[in-house]
Amino acid sequence: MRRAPHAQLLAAAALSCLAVACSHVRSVYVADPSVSPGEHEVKRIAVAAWAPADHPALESVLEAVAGDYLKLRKNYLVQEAPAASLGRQGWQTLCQGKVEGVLFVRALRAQLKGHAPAEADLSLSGELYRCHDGALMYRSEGSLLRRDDDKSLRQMRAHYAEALGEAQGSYVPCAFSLLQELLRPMPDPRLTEAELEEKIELGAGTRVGAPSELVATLP
Amino acid sequence: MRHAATLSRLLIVGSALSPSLALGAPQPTPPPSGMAAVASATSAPAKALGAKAKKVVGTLVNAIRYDKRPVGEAQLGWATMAEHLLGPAYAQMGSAERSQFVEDFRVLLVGTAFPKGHDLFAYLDGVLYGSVREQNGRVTLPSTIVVHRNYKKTEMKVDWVLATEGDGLKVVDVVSMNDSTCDGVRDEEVAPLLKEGGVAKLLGVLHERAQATRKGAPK
Repeated sequence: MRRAPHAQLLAAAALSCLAVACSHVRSVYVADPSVSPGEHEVKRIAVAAWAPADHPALESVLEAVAGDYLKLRKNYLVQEAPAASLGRQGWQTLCQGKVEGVLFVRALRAQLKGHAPAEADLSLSGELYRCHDGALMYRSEGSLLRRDDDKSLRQMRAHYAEALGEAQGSYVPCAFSLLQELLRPMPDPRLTEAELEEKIELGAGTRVGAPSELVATLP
Repeated sequence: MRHAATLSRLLIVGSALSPSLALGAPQPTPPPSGMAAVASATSAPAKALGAKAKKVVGTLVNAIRYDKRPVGEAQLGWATMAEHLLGPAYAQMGSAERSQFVEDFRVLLVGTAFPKGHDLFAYLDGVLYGSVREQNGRVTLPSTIVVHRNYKKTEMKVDWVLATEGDGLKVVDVVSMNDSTCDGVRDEEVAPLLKEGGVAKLLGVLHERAQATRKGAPK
């Protein structure tokens, strides 16, 4: 049965409101295409992060989670970073070798409240810089508050905690959920056949951590 | 549930012979009994083996994501899977019959499971790998797959089983919720056909389905 036009509009408006209400992203900036001429398109990127000194465990979480998301869901050819805590050296230091751009994740605010369960309150920005001229290609910013015992991300937290350290685990559910929202709107580069092969060779997915356990299936 | 079933058999062998094969109720999955961790999860050999296994699985996942079927096919251990699926009948078959089985099975699997896996990338948020375990020449790489649907994130545990075939490690089975995909296909599809009409019946049915898949009408 076909719905009345006004009912469809109402449904669309309600869905839009719901989407905005559910989003934890405050702002998104995407560079004008003219700023990104084809010959300097950013495809090979490195990922770095910065967090306040009183949250030393957060940087490695942000780097790992953001890098893993881009490897799995975006076409970027993510180059392995040579060392941790790269954010303190500035993103420009990563513009070496094949690297054409740097995704820099910054913790604008970080709070960890309580213990077992802890609650992470993060405000993050993600910025993609082009190495060629330092142009800002993408920026997004958002906040999220989330407990670290989130049942829907229990195994994922365990994987990262095993790979990075237990101190990092408390940030993982919050960082994982927020970074996905922040990076989802990021424009994807178009890869050539040769680059596609390179991407496939780089593999998808992520850390080597602890064996996990099944939690649930899709509804 | 349908998506969970497809995802768990995603890059795998399940839906090739039995697209409608459904998974049972979700249950926690302990590590298989007698399955020993490779030395220590942090030892150099274990890390090297884990990196190799992750590379194979990651390449398979990416090949399916980008619809590069030959690359994906090359990550699967076809002969090992055939031997397991056929059981005692494998020894009674000549090389021509074995080749026909592998070829038709390959067509069926790649033609049905790969497209389903490709479609599921829309829901995929993360693939996280655990530490490998090794037993009797088989390497198990546990993983947690995070998917989203209806604004809800869900984790699934999937174990990738690899064995050495030809030039290296290949994926030969996927275990989800303690449910081996190969065992399921063998017990529910291959064995009944062998019992009903022997190798000739099995090869005939398989060939018919492979032909239908080639024509774009998978059964």
